[in-house]
Amino acid sequence: MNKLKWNTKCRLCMLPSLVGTAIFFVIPYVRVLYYSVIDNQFKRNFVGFKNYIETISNEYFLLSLKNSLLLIVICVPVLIVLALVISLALSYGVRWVRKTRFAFVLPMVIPTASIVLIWRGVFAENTTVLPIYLLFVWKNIGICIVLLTAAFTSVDSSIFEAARLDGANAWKLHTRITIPMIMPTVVFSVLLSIVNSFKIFKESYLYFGTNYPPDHSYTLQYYMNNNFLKLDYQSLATSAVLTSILVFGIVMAGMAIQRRYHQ
Amino acid sequence: MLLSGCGTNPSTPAHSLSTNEASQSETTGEAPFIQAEEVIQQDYTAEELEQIKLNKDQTVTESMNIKGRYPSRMLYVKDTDTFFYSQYNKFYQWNGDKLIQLLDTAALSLSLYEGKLYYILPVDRDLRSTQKRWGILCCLDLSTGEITQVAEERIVIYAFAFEGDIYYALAEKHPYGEITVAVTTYKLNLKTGEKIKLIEHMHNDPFALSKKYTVFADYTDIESLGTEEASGTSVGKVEFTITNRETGEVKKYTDDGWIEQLSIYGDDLYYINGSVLIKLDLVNLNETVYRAENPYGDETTYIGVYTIHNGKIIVSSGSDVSFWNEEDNKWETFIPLTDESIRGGMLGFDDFVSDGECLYGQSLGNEWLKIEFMDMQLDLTLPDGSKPDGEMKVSKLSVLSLDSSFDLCMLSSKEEVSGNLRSKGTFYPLNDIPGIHEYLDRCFPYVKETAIAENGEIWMLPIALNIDMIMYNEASCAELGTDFSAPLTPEKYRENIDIAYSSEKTLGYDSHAYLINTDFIMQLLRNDSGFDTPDFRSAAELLKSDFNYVKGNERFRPINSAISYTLEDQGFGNPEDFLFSMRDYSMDQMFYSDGINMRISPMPSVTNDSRSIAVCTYLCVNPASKNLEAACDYIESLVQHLGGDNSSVLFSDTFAQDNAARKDLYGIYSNASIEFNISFEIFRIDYERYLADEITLDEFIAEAERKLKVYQNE
Repeated sequence: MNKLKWNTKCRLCMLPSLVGTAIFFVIPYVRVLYYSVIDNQFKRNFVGFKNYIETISNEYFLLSLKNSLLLIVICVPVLIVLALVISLALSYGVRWVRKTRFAFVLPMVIPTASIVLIWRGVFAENTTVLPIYLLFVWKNIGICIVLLTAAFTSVDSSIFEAARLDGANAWKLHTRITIPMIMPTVVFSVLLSIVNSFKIFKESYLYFGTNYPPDHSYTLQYYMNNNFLKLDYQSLATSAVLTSILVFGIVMAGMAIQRRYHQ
Repeated sequence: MLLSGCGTNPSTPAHSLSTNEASQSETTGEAPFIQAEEVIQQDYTAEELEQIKLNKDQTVTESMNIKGRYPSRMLYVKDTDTFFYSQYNKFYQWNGDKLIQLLDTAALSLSLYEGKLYYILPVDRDLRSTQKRWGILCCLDLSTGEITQVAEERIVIYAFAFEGDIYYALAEKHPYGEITVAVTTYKLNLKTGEKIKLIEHMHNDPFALSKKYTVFADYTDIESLGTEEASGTSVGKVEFTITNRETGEVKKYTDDGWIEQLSIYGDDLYYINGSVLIKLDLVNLNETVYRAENPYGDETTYIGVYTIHNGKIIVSSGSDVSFWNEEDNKWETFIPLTDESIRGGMLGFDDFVSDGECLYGQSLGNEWLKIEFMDMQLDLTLPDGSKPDGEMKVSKLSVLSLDSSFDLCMLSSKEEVSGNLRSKGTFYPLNDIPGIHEYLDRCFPYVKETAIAENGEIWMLPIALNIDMIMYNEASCAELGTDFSAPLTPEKYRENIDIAYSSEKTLGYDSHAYLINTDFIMQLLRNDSGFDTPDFRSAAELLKSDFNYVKGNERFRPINSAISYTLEDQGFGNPEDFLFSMRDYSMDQMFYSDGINMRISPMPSVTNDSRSIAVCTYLCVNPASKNLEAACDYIESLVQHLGGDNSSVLFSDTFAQDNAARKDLYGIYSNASIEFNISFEIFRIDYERYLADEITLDEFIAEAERKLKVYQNE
């Protein structure tokens, strides 16, 4: 009975959040789903998957998808490895890293417009995608370092003591103990970075100053934003649904990996 | 009888009212003119006649005109608690129970005398300010329903009946088309028909009359102030001379500021001073200041028009109508007396009212509709003198999201969403609106074609049309050696600018490098022809060398001023100084077409297509509107209202071609096309970098082509 009461209390506590999620996420998402299968929002003729087929066969949707995935594939590993190394150095108290740790958190507090201003000055002559990639890494590395450093410091030192007594060297300590112990946090950081990679639009837009950046930086957000401005609700809704499916798939995969490490 | 003066408008008879009476006299005798065909008898039923009759043998003792800058459209008769008012092109009487349409036209400058209503039947209007109208002085006998023309003239701009006479002011059409300056006033005896010319040139000072008082205002120590000078006003000390007509007592009272719209109600004088309403107790000379509630959330307060109803002060700040609650010392929202709201008339805008962010229009069923606007083409000025800019982004989002909180959307073909609105079918079809097919049939064919989507649905109502063009003084230009004869090439245009710049009439021309660039590029991008074409390359090089607005050139003027400088600001007096001016607003074009030796050339063509680029402003009904029926009613009322406007450049059948310039104008408007723009963002930044020599033409074109390809295919 007590347990039931506790559950009821929990549900009541969750209720505001659930209502908020329903109002601001579930209902709009269902509406977007609906828009993606009609011809336009006034006539509302059901067209099945026609909009999806058109979107998937659109060369600029594919380009934006490719660029978004490239950003994930290239930048997220770089970001996580860098964050791991810096966190490790911080955990071990490497002096020069400790002295510069403030710099890693700085991007989290500087307004995006200011960051972009600095970036445009530094990369004035660069016409490649590199500035955007670096911007993404720099902007997101702070939170990853904070998470991973916290994970490092939370590993029980008695485990290391026992391993050392058993004759484990530094390499084995890290590969057999540290990494598995912090893996849930790593996976979480990866997921967080992937989600953040879909939010690089603001920085990119400010950097290029246009809705039509160079092809290498044309991501899914540009595709959706431009279709929104052109009043093409169906392309917008369809690409939004496809993007959400993609993100959902990535998150599910990440969680599966996380569960595997837990086991 | 209490009748009010007409404020500061130039037609107001002031001190000279009595002293100049004998200046010229002529007896008119029995109706020495044929009644104008516009004066049409109305058929009233016996029941209607019973209502409209004021049921008073004697003169109405208390009435109050709405006080406004332009001829009044509303009259309240306190004795009978009756309202007369004009709305759109109809004239109504409301007596507390029932509304009757008295006339099938508007009636302006209303006044009552011995059971007869005197009014101006508008037959024409100022092209640039639709509130300014003038016409035929008529009389409606409220006992018999008979309508008669009172005076022969057709350019009566103000009139009022007072103590057995009717005073009316004639406007004079000056050479440039405007009829706003009243120069002659007559007094016509309503019994004998004796007509006396009072004065040739009106006194500008305001005055007010009542049965008990006369109040004249004299400006002394007038100082023109820089900012006000531009708007034609000045500020100084004003001395009121207050005469009690019963006792002969004369008092003086002084105030600072710019005084307008004087009227007397009982023992109080009301007037607008700047932006506040002031009540002056004429017995004790105590002043009470009424400030409007702030409608904009800043320091601005404004009272534009006011009236007195049942002893209550009713004011309009341009966005709302309130009355002053004496007991609580605060403004309260004015509750319309009937469903037939009179707000449209009170606020002084013919078709729309605005709160600075949105426009509001009234449907035939008198429901107020919210109109989002994204790009104002109408020359709408807010009461504080500013132009509405609105929150474009917010409006755009509202439109894009089909927000049900707005009913109609005002857009221009310049907006990049326009093309998508049509192609995506995101509109409510207007095919069933009565009269819309006839309306579109009257429009130029390309306008009609634009208004109809591919599937035959009418997706918008075109309400305005504007084309860039060059107006020039044929004689002055010929004398100077400039040549605007067809075909006007860009090179010839630039040469004309050079000649004008090096002449002594350098203030007589203007040209906008930026607008020229925009027009040329729109021509080049017509039919989605892209950037990488020989035409575009050669035009881009020409624009860079001859019309480069990025690098600056003193030959180009940042503001469009030549016409106004030579034809307006100089007292309408230096037309020979005028050379040429680029104009983009059809009302201006029609207005200035009356100028001496005026001719008009289309913009130089940079392609083989000689058609001009027309920008169409239109209204769409939001399919998600909660007031669809009322929104359609509103469109219907606009169709009726705008369809009756024979001066609109939209209509090919009534397009005035009464002089050479208007014939030119017709030629340009008939040979045009409406283009839905691609986003200028696609090329603007790169184009300006090219003009600034930061990138080459090839780089610019390659980048613009790339962006265009994304734009067209994403």
